[in-house]
Amino acid sequence: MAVIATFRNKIAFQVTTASQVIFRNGKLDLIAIMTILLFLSYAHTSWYVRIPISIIAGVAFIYSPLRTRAAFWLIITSILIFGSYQRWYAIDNHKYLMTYWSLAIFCSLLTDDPEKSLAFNGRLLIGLSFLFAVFWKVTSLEFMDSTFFQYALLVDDRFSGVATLLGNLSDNFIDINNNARLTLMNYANSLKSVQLETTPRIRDLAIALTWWTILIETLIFIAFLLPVGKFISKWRDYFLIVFIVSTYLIAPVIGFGWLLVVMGIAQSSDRSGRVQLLYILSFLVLQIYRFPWGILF
Amino acid sequence: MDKTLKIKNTLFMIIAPTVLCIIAFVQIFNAYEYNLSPWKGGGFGMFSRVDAPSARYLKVYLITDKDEDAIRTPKSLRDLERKFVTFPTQGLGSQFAKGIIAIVGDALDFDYVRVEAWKYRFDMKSERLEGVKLQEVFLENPSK
Repeated sequence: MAVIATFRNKIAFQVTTASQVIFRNGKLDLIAIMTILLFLSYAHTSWYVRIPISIIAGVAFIYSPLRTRAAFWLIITSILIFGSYQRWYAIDNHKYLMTYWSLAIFCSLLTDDPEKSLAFNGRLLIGLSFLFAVFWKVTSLEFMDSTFFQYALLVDDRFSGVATLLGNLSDNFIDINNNARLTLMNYANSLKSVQLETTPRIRDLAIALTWWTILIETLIFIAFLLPVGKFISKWRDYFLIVFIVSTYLIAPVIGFGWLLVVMGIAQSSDRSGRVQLLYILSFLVLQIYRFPWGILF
Repeated sequence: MDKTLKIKNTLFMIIAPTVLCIIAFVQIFNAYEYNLSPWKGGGFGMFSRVDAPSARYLKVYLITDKDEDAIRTPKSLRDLERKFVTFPTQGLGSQFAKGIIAIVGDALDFDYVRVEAWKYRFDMKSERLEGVKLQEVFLENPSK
């Protein structure tokens, strides 16, 4: 027992030390660095966003006080708003969320307590985005009866790994389904429907994914929108970390996951730094997901 | 803390979440009223329905009194095509059809152009993808 207690204390000491090193320059600076890195990697593909962001972010890495200046974040936010406005019909939802997050940093730096304001914004932006995500899912019959996930497993490239591994969908069936889909969409084709190929396990997998998604997303929006410390809000960080680690393993939208990690760190009220460390570990896990694992199988 | 400062702090704290809510409500309205794809527009409807922009497609026909021919979207109109299938309004459809007439109007002989925005749905029982027409725009070739 004494050996176990010593070991536990040693681990606790190491975790605390690691947290202290990570937050040495303050939480705000860490959030600024992670956000700038995120924008550099995933903000937009359009040159009129990518190039100015690269220049400004580069300057902020050399001259660190810039990272916590409101004017700096106003410029970043303006570039993101311009980019999002130009391509509003094409960009993904997390690009919108990145813009809101940049706006939140700018606004928070104008308040008396930027860390408190950023924590409030992080919690609300996560809670609200999951609330709307759950709204769209529960009002969709094709989601609730698992049609959506069956379809996604059969034709969406992002799900092909899990469809092959857990759904027994062969490469041949994946090719047939993709060809059928492209045939239906061909400009010169007058076909009104096409047949897809599936397996019995795809249906079971789709049902499991449907209910897991509804459960975890509902827990997150409730936990993040409830007042801090009330009911399940105490476990909100753990729900979000489980979501990040599980969801992006199957559908690797790394930019979204990274943004959730940054906002998660910003809003976490854990003073020991352990939860923030878990967020950083989940960020590292996200990077591991980017490896081309498919070539191993 | 004085009252004005408190109000200023509160205002700055709620700007970003308020913008998120406004854009999400506008997106929900456009999706239900004008067939905007639930995946786009900032309403967080991704992975909730089959109806992503990648499940939408366009058919363009050049029509004469005898026949109609399907044509591929010219490269210069690809971006407008994407916008139109994602948000298939009459206005964007007309803009696209005018673009077609401007590009091929002189080179090809036709009386009208018809542009159709489609999406497909997945029928779980039959395991088939089925096309559903979302919008149709019909425009006369003014040079005829």
